[in-house]
Amino acid sequence: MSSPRFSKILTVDEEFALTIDDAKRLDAIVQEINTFPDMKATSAFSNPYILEDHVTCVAGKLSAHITYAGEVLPCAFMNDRGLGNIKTVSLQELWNIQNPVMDELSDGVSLDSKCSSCEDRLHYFGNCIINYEYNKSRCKK
Amino acid sequence: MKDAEVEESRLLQILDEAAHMGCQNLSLSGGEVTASKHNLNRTLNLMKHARSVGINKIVLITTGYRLDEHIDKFIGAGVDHIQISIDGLEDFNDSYKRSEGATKRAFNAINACREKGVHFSTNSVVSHSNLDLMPNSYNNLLMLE
Repeated sequence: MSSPRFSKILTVDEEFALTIDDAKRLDAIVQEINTFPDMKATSAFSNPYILEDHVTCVAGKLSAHITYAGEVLPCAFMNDRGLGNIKTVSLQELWNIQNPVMDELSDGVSLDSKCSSCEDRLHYFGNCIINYEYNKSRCKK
Repeated sequence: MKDAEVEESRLLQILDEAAHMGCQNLSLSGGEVTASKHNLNRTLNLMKHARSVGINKIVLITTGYRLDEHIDKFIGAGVDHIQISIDGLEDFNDSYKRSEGATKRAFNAINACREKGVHFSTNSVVSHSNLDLMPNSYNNLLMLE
């Protein structure tokens, strides 16, 4: 399953976006920090748990984000995927909603074939759907 | 109004609902929660209520702005873990947070957590523009007495 219905992709200024080399360097920094006995570090790219042909995460499965205005989002970065507003609907109803967004979060987002075989996939997106969508849009491979 | 802040009474109901659905963790973040009386009181009330309905892992996400003044209130309200954001070395972090002294305040917050024995972590939004600052940023944490 591809995700054509999500036309709005998070925009990040290229000046700030991590390159692949940056992501690898961040890994090295995290590993160095973890050699110290009193500190433990993780990064968004630290989690090696990735699936072969799709990307999935806890958003909409184990966690939800509620904005100050009451919008319920599967994760804080999925502001194009609002489930509804708790001002007018119960949380239970929004959480159990049957819609394409929740279906996709449940099944995971299928990867393009070039992404599923990419050797840098951990550093491009790891197990983050938002990173996958963003980096797929800017990848020049 | 669609963009208006949710009433506190409604947020308390949502916590009841969440607890009923089996929610175990609550993370609360800003607008900086220590920056205004309104945010502070609301956050404390939400924490206390979450505790009372059985949500037992409560995390506060803060820049540390005035945490040292208010930490006892958060402990009293049942906070489990405080996450303090530091996005690099002092010049970068102060400018990124658009607040002179932001980094000193974050370190005051860290010291307050250590004095009071509150479990804490720091977090950084790492980007291409501050990646190089990260090793020295964590070295500063290591040098804390």
